[in-house]
Parts: sequence; C-alpha cells; structure tokens
Amino acid sequence: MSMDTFHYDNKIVRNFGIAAMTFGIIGFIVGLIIALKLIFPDFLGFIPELSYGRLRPLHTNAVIFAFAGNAIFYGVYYSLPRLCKAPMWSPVLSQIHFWGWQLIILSAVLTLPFGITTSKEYAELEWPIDIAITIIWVVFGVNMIMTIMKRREKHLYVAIWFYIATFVTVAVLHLVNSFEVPATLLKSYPIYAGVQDALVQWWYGHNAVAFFLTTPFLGIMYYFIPKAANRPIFSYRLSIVHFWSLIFIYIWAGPHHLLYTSLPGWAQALGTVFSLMLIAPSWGGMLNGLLTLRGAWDKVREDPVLKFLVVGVTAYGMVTFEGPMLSIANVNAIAHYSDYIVGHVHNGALMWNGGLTFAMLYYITPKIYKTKLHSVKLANIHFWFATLGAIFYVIPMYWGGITQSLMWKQFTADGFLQYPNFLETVVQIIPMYALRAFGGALFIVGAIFGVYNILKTAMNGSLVDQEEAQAPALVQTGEESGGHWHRKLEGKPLKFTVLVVISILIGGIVEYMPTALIDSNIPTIESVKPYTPLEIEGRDIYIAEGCNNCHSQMIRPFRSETERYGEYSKAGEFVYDHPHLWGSKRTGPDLHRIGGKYPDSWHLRHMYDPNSTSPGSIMPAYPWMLEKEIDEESIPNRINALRTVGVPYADGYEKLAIRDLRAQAEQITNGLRENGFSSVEGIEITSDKQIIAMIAYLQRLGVDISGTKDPFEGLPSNARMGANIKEN
Amino acid sequence: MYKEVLRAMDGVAVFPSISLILFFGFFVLLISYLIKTGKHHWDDVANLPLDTDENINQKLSES
Repeated sequence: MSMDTFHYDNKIVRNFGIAAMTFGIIGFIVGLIIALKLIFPDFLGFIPELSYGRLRPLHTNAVIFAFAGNAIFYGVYYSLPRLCKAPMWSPVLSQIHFWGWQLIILSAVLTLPFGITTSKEYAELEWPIDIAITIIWVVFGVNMIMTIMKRREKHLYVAIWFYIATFVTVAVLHLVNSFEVPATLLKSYPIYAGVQDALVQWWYGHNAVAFFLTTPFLGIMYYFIPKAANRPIFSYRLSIVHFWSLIFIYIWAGPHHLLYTSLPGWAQALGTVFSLMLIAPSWGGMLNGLLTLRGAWDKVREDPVLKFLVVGVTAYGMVTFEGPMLSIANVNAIAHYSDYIVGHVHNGALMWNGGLTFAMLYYITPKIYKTKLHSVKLANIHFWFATLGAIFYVIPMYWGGITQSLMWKQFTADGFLQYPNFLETVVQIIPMYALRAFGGALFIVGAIFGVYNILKTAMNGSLVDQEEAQAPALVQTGEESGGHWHRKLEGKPLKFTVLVVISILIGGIVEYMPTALIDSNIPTIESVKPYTPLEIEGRDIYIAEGCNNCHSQMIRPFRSETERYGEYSKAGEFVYDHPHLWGSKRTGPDLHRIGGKYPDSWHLRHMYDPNSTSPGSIMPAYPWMLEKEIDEESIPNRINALRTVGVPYADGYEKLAIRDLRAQAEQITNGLRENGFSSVEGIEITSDKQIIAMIAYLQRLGVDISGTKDPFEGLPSNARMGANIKEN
Repeated sequence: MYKEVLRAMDGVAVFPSISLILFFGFFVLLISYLIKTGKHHWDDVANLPLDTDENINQKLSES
C-alpha cells in the first residue's frame, strides 16, 4: 500500500495556545477587578473606562471568546488534522483565522471600555465587529470543512461531529442575533424589540453556552480523554445518541432564561420541558467520558492532564444537572437574578472550560516540543489551586445568591416586605463577595503557575514546526455494504453537516417564529409611546454604561416583586425597546417602574454619589455624567435608524428631534434649579449634560402603562408631529 | 410579508408537538438501531484517536 507523507502544522497550534493563555490571564484579572469592585466600589477611582458596567462585558467577552475561543481552535487545529490524517487544508486560511480572531479581540478591548456596546449579553460587540466575526468564522469553517473533505481517514470520529455542529450552529446564532441597523459607525439598533429581542437574545445566549462552551469542548473531551488514558471511548454507540440528542434538544432550552417574564407562556413551557430533557444527553456524554477511565484510575492519580480532564468532566456533570433543575419554574423563581447563577456559570467556566483547556495545554505542549512537562509537581499544585479556587468561588455565590433571594421574598407577619430596602439584602452578602474574590484570586495564581510551567516546558524543548506523518491515501471503495446507515453517514461530511443544520434549525424556527409573527403573543398597549429624543440619548447612555449588567427591567408577577417594585411588566410595554434591557442579574434593584418614584434631584445626587442617597451602596458613582455632553449630532441618524427598525416616528421627525431634545432638557434643568440644584459640589448643572438625558430616561421607565401623560406633550414638535406618532 | 404567510397557517401551535414527536421517534429508532448493530461493530472507529502515526507505521511493518 502506498503511503502519503504530509506535515501537521504545529506552529499554528502553538500560536492559538499562546493566545489562549495570554487572554485567559487578562480575562481572569479583569474578572477579579470587577469582583473587587463589588466589595470596594471606589476601587480604581472614577475612571469611566474602568467602571463596573463597562468592564463586566469585557470580562465575559475575554474569557468566552478570547480564552475559550482560542482554546477551542487550539484543540481543533491539533486534533482535527490528526483525526483526518491530513494537514489543515490551507495554511493561509489558518493564518487569517488566527490573526483575524486576535484583531477581533483587540477591537473588543478598544470598544467595550469606551461604552461602545450593543448591551446584548455575550454579543456586546458593535456591528462592524459583528461583520468581522462573521468573515473570520467562515474562514475557520471553510478551512475545517475542506480539511475534512481532503482527509485520508474515511470515518469522521465523534469529535469531528461536535466541531461541525459548533461551526454551523454558531454561524446561525451569530447571524440571526446580529440583525441590526447601523445608526452611526459604532452604534446600531437591533431589528427586534422587547419580547422578540429578549427571545432571540436568549436563544443566542443560551446556545452560545451550548455551541461555544459545550460542543467544541465535548469534541475535545472525546479526543483527549482517550488519548490521555490511552484507551478508546467507553461507548461509541452512546456517543452517537449523545451527539444527536444533545444538538437537537439544546437549541430549544433558551427560554428558561426568561421564566416568569413577559414571554408567552407556551414558549416558557417549551424551554422548561426541553431543559429537563437535556439532562439525559448531557449526562450520557459525561458518563461516557468518565467511564472511559474505568481500569485506568491509577493514572488519574499521577497525570495532571487526566486530573484536569476528570474534574472538568465532573464539573460539566454538576452544571448540566443544575441547569435543568434551575429551569423548573419554582426553582428558577428563587435562583434567577441572583448570584446563584453567577456561581452556576463559573462552576462550568472555571473547571469545565478552564480545566479542559489546561489539560490540553499540558498534553499538547510536551508533544509538539518533543520534551517532557517541565514540572509535574507544579502542574499538580496548579490543579489544586484551580480546584480550591473554583470551590471558594462557587459555594459563596450559591450561599449568597439563595440568602439574598430569600430576603427579597421575605414578608413580615403583617404582610409587609421584611427587607423593603434592597440595599439591606446587598450588604448581607458582601462577605460572600469577598470570599468569591478570594476564590477567583486562587484560580488566577494557579493559572499563572500553569502558564509558567507551559513556558518552561516549551523552553526545554524545541518546536517541531511541521510534524511529519504518513498515512495511506483514502481509497474510494464505493458504498459500504450492509444496512449500517450511521456508519455510512460518518463517511459523508456534507450530508452529515446538512443533517446537523436541520436538527438545530427545527427548535429555533418552531419556538421563535410564532412569537415573532402572531400578534396575540404580544398584546399591544395603547398608551405605550416611543421614546423622546432626550430619552433615546438617556437610554443609549444607560446602554453605554452597562447599567443592565446590574439592574433588570422586568418585574415578575410575584407579590414580593410587585410590593417592592410596582406592577409586573407586560409584554406590550417593550414594543419600542430596541434592544430590550431586561437584564439577567439584580446586583441592584429592578428599574422597570423607577419612573416617577423619586424626584429628579434624587437621581442627580444618586448618580453623582450613590452613597449620598443610599448610604452603604455598592453602586459605582458616575460623576462624569455631570460633565460629559449629550451627543446631539447623531440624534437624527438615531431617529432614522429606529424608524427603520419599526419605531413609528413620523417622516421628517429627525429634523425636529434636536429641538425637542433641547426643550425637554431645559424643562428638567429648570426643575432642578427651582428645587435648589443648580450645581452639585461646584459642578454647574446645565441642560446639555448627560445626566439630564439619564434623568429623562429613568423618569420615563414604566410610566406609560398608567396612560396619564403623553411623553411628547409640551415639546415643540408636539402640535405638528404628535398626532402622526400616535396614528402610526 | 412573511408574517402573513405564517398567520395564514391554521394551528401553527401544533408545530412544537410535531417536532417533539419527530424527535422522540428519531431517538427511539436510533437507539434500537444502535442496539442492533452490536458493540463491536464500532471498535475500529472508536480507536481512531489512538490510531497514531507510530501505530500505523508499526502495523505496516508487521504486515
């Protein structure tokens, strides 16, 4: 039999490894900074670029797309060529993929801290970067699919199926979730509003976890556990069931992020049912990974690669048990909006994604540098720091989350809220925030040991840039005999990919389309009106500052919430919310009915120094809002973009919008002056400052439902344009 | 436009149920198929990650 000789590109593997480690450490440190900010709100001073709301998306983007993203490519670029017995199809595409991805990460660093964000969780990057992500993702996909097409091994091993599912599903998710209309070069509005936007966002958000943080890592598990343990996977048949049921079911589970919200009940119910079903394939996969080690547990005691793999897969098992439990409505009622979810996420992120990544680094580095791991002892120390770090992170979050949530719900014997002041419930769990920061710090110290160990290993050896390999060329033998269709399917990558696409589209289409298309799902409310230009500016500042990271705008229909915040939120109230700002976490109270609750002067003082109105508050101060000017110039463009996405501003309103904005700003400023607030701590309050727009927006929140005031009343355009707006 | 198309469909709400039944049907068929194929049918494919170059060379020299 003739043998082909070819070379695996280890350099690109190494580069992705370096990128994963570098951005991992940076992302972890940003995480630690924001953890510290919840204990010491003034930590790092009052620098807008370093405020909590702007750094939190930087942290999530860094660890998901920069750390885990590069780790996925590290694993794929190592294992895929070896499973296909062929080098990556195009070294040029590999390079474009690598550098393109790093540039996208760089652009995130250059936009998010500067308040350039869409506010949609895990999809915060603005539209030009969205386009870049699409291009680079396609480059990755083409390179991967073509490598598979040019393979020398007929059968696609299960790891490759997971890589294929990752590529196609992330492509679909990213495209659908990123439909937005640009208003300026760095500002866009999604075409979806309110309920639809929330549903698309959490269809995306949930499946980003599924197809960016789960399926590629399952592929990695299916390759690296057998490699490290030197034995085949426990059950190949189980992996077939695991794969198809996981990708089909996962896509449906998104609405469990929106239980008790204004999402139609049937969509919530579907989300719960499919989330519960998800436990079966998840645990099937987890057990398949762990049982591969039967008879080899002695190796786990000595090999740090296996240690990280085993604890990672175990954490995956814990998280995928928790997920379905948290999707049961009455459990969700307690855990949602609390720190429990932050603990749940980090259990998976630190040990499953982090653990598998470090397992790969410890496995691959000695192989491609043809040497031994520098120090097994140090790797073991890293393992214990990582595990203890995760425990110190996760348990306080569980404890704090449940404690705070129960305090939110506690009534006195007389039927009043026992803790009517939200702040009391925050102060109660600050010690838990401190423990969490300690856990995070432990994890980072461990990671630094790990990076040092990897670097030393690399320095001890020398990189085998192009690793020579041999394999017989793939001979096309025609159809295999016998009725084993799945086996045949494993030799047909294109057919396989098409079936994957069908499997993941069914859930998305069936669940989303009816909400988007059937009017009865979103009852309209006559008195709900579009935002005024000043309120749009305030809303965009709210988005830029990342207020939605800590404040929800979605009051669930519980007595404990209606007592605390006011009437529960209705779907029809959000029809002009491009994007929705429901939020997913209440580090501070819900704001949906904040409008009219406090006087303008309260908001002025509170934004300047939260402690002046709420002693002990951990909310950061926003003194720059009193000095930064409103962006009037782009208002017409923003009105136009909002009209394009469906907000019924009358034609020509963009020309009158600035006049309306100024008039409303004057009203608010005059009101403040009349009440003795012409300046705060020596800063004069003028109508062209961001704080005025912010006050306008906050005072508008949740008031439309009462129908007592037309928001455009008293503005210069009202006489001419108001009628048109109403007609639309 | 496309909204009209979906609105015109009668009983669009049964679609989720159909999807669920389809999936369960597929799932049951898949499991029964896999049980029928037998465990050892998949041994060679399961060994793919372990089928390293060294092993291939070794196999070739043995044959």
